[in-house]
Amino acid sequence: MVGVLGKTGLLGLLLLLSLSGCDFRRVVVNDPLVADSLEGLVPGESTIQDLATALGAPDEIEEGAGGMVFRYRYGDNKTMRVNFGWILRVFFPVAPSMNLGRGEGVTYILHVALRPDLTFDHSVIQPPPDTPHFWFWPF
Amino acid sequence: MLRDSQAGFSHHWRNPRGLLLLASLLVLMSMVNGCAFVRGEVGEPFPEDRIQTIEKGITNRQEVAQQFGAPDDIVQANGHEIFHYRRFDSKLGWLLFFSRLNIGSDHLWVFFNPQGIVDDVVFGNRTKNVEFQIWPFGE
Repeated sequence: MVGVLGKTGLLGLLLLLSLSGCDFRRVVVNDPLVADSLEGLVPGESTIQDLATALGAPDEIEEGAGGMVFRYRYGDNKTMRVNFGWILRVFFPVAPSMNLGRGEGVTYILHVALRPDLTFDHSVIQPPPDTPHFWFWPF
Repeated sequence: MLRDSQAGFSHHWRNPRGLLLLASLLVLMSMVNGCAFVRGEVGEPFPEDRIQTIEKGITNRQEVAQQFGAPDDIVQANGHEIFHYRRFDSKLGWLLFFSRLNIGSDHLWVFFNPQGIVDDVVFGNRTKNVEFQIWPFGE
């Protein structure tokens, strides 16, 4: 076998086979929110159109204290799963699934408050939470 | 000619290196997953030329509804009635044990004054940035 595939090929094959029991999935919703894009906005002067040019259309609009609140969202979710029953496929035609998996997700939210005359007032961006990690241990 | 191909086949069949390589590939193929590219869309795209037909101070509620249909949401905020139209686009790339699903959303917000005439329009096109990606690590 080593002669046919070579040592590197054999190691690559073993790595590929060992990873076959694993599953890495990621779901990303919208583009990351960049606080720098708010720098050009001036309270009391910048209009809704300036805001739309800087950040795009909001995901939500709500009534705020005397004005409106625009809300922008960005989501990032990572899931990893390991099927420990997979190794039995080497020996048996039918192998039971024995999965351990874990998912982590974060949502970044940016609030932009507008005055009653629909000019920019202030913004609040939540401190970036820990980025999600790939890990399979659920306990 | 038939005899030549039969001779070639039996030559390969007798070659243990080739047979081992073929068997290894078959085992590998039976153990690893394949690949997939899947796209999902919810809602109709918002063509720029149709958005430009909405004129501030002229277009009324009925005309907006004729162009874009009934809104997905109607929001009341700061004395404005706001029509909200949404569209989602998602692209999934999956290869072996890695997958990534990117989701983007477009939002069209049409602000009306108390007389039912358009006061402002906010549109953001984020679905144009949605790409097929497989690698779940990094950005």
